Amino acid sequence: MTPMPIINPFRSVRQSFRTRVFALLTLLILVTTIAFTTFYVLHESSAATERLVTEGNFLAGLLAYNSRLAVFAENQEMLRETTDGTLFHQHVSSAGIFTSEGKPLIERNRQLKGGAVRESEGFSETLHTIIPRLKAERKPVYYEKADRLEFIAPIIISQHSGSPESLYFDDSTREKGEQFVGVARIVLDKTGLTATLHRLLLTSIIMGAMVLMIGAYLMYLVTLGLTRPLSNLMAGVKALDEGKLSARIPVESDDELGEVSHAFNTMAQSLEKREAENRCLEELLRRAEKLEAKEEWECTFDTVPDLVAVLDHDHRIVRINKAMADRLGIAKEDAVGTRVYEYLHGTEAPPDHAGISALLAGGATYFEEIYQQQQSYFMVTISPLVRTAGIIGSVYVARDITKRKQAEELLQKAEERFRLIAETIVEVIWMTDVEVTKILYISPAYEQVWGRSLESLYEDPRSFIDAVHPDDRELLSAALASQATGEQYELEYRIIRPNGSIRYIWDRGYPVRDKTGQVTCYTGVAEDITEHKLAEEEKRAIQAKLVQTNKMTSLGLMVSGLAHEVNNPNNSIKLTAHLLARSWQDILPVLEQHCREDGDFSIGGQSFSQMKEILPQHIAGIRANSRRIEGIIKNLRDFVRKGASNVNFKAEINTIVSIAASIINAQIKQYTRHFQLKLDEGVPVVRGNPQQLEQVVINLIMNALQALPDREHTVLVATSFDAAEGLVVIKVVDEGGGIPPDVKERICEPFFSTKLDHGGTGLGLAISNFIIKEHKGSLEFESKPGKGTTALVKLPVWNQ
Amino acid sequence: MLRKIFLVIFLILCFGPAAARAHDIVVIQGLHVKPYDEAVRGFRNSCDAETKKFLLTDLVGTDYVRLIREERPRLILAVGPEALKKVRPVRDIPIVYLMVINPQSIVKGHRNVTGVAMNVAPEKYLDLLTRISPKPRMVGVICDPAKSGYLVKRAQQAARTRGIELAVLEVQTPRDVPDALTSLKGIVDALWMFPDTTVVTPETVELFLLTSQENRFPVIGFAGKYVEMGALAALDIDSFDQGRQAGEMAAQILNGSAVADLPGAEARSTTVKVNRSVARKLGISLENIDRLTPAK
Repeated sequence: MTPMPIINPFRSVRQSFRTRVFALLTLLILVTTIAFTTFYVLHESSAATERLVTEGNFLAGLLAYNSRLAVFAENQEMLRETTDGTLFHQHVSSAGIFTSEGKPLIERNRQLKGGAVRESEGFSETLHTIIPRLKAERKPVYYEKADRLEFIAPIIISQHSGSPESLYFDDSTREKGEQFVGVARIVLDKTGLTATLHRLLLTSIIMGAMVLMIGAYLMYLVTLGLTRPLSNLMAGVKALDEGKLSARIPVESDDELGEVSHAFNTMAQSLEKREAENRCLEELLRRAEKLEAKEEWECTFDTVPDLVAVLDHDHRIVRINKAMADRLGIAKEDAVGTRVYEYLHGTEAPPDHAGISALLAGGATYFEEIYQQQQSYFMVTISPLVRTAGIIGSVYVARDITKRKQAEELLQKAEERFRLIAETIVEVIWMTDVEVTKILYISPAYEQVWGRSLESLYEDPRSFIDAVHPDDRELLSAALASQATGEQYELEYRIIRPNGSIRYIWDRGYPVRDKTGQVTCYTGVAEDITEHKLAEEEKRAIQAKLVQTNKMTSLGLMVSGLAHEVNNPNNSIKLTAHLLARSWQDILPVLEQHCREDGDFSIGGQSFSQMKEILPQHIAGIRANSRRIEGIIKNLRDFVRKGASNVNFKAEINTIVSIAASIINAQIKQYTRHFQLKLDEGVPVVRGNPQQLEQVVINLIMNALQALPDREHTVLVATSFDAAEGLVVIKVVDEGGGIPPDVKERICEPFFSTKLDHGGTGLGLAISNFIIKEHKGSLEFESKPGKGTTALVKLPVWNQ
Repeated sequence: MLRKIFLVIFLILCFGPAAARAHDIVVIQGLHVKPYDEAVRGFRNSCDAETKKFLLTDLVGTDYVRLIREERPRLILAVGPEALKKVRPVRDIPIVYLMVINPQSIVKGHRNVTGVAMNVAPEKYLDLLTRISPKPRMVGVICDPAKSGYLVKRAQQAARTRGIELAVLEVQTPRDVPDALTSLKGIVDALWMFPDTTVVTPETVELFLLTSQENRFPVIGFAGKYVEMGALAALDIDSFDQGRQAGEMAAQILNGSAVADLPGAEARSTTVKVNRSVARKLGISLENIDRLTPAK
């Protein structure tokens, strides 16, 4: 439903130039008339008011002057006479005389003659406010109220203050004293004035309306005269627009509008002429085009590189193009009436004409790919030829696709080769989209490396990540994220196969870009490097061991030299200290006697009585420290010498432990009252050196004892046999302070000790560890700070 | 102070050259009004002596006595009561006054002072009254005893001898005048105005004249201007003649007469002024007056 157009009656008026001009001129007259009337009324009303004010001022001044004497004398009779004289005046409604304090002396009213004091209520307050002004200006002032005008004039009398001589003549040089004695008040009624103003306003409005009406009529006539030529012109233009090129407009004058009319007529004439010429030319053009089209079609038909033939209903050739004629090597004319298959299809039997006809009748196109005997491939299409009368035949087009066919075959072969490579090699070749939401290709090696099926990966492309070791997933995620930026990457990660075994993978990804440089997908190779990795680790361990051995060898050489160099002077110190101790014992009685006889004396800066106490202690210190040096040297020698030890003896662990405990029985008693031995009876013999193993057990027990805080804590030594592993176990448990984790790591390093201040050499556990390693066993420590430590020695059993 | 310095410089410049020779007479004039100027002109007319005139209005703030002493005059002429008051302290130079109504009130007992008083003797007015026809028997007088009492007293004495009675009403302020006038209505045949600043004010003058008009009795004024305003008659003083009169006295003093020998005089000549229009309206005959002086 189309909306009805809303007809706006003012729209046509607004669009009319004539109406606009008329409205504008009328508006101008209206504005002018209103302005003049307003000005006239305002001027006249202000003039009338001014006249009234002048009159009031005059009357008030006169009354003030005339009443001077009466006020001076305060003579009521005179006051009344003077005041009543004023009331004769037309506009005066009230006249009065007041003292300077505002007290009425007399007040006369036109309506209320008899001196009613009606209008002067509150006058004294008003007067009070204007007295300064009256005194200063010496002339009447007036107030305008709603219905009246009030005039107040000062009454001033002069006073003589001079000498009596001045009474004889007018003394203009002397200042006369003046006294303000009261005011004269005149009230003028504004009723008359208002009526006059109303009359004036009414007259002015009537006059204004008349001027407006006459002016509007005149303006209408003027507008009509001005716009008639324009209307004519408009009518002419409309006629032209509707196609009436013969339209002309009358030329009424010689002015600008007349010239425009004339120009329009000339233009219309020219247009009419040109239109006739155009029609003639168009007719000629149509005829020429028909001939040209035929030629053009034939040219196009022969230019087409495909082999084209127009067939009739019976699939006989009606016409062939140049390409077909050339290819078949026959003249165009000779082909007419023959069938295409005879030349092109290389088949004996004709194609299924009935089937093709049925297809074409339905408006469809027939496609067929054929292989010609001359080693050429053609793509044949037969399309129905439709005219207005219906299908009149078909168009046969054969396109040579031999080159494309050959390229396809080459590509297929290349793909086959690639597949062979990809599926044969052990590395996993993969190809995914950039976001890894789809697997484009994965080589079968994936199944071997990951231990998962290819199908599972195609179904869930990110399932290969699930197999990645949790510690390495972050690394892989970062690499996959870098795919989005189109970067190349390579990384190493571990995967866990379904059977739980861990494989190391070296994965490399490369972006594949299209012609515009846009990354379309990612391809890469994931290689299983587990064997290589393990071999590398083993190599690293061997290298570390070599370093350690080398270090120990150097240490051994240094220690043997050091032991020799230190041992000799130390022996000398030890002997000297011994001699010194014995000498002191001999000297002491002599010195004591001397002291008793001759009094105390000084030795080495100290008194003898003090020195006889201190010196034996110092000598004992020398001996103790010398023994300690001797012990360290012995330990060092043992450590260096152990390489040459023979471990091919049968060693009974229980015996070794018992001997060790008995050797250090004295120390055990010194450190604890709760020492326990738990020796398992069924412990088999092990291969080893009993002396060395004894040393290990002693070391371990001594360490346990030294860890105890007091004698009330326990040290337990137990032996057992782990049949499953074929290992004999010696366990030394203490209730000491435990070992901090950082210390635990370094506990077996040579020269590492927490007891260096208490005589430790840092070699005990290093030697023990070395001995156990020589016995192909292991030394382990389990400890929690504050909970004590357990040392475990595991040795393989004697095995022939 | 600056003004004084300028004045002294001005005076030295103006009078410096003349200061060498002393003037015979220094004239001190109170006001610059026509009657005073006339009087000084009359004085110079009858006295040839060298004069030098000062106007009081030009010498405001000056030490008049010192000024006079510097001029070293042989005589001082004081024109108007203001001038007389200023030169009053000078006791060793003869002073002649002019245009002063009651000089005794200013210089009573001063032996070096004499002059012509502006007073017209009350007797002269009484003479005038007697010449009015019909002759008034009771004449109303309103006075402030403090100002014109001495004149009224003298008039009262003189009136009795001429068969005229004065009804004297004393007032203290001009506001009392209307009531006084009202009370005189129907009692008096004429009103006699005296130069009294309490009684005579612009308003009261009007009232005097209105009362005269309403009650049809004449008013006798004391100066010509009241005649013009509506009084019947007045004895107008002749300033020029008074000046001449004083000039003659001065000449005598300069010629060696002692001041004490020349007592203060009153105006010797007066002019009768009448308002004929008023006379006609009041039905008064001026025949006797006209005979006294030729009509002007």
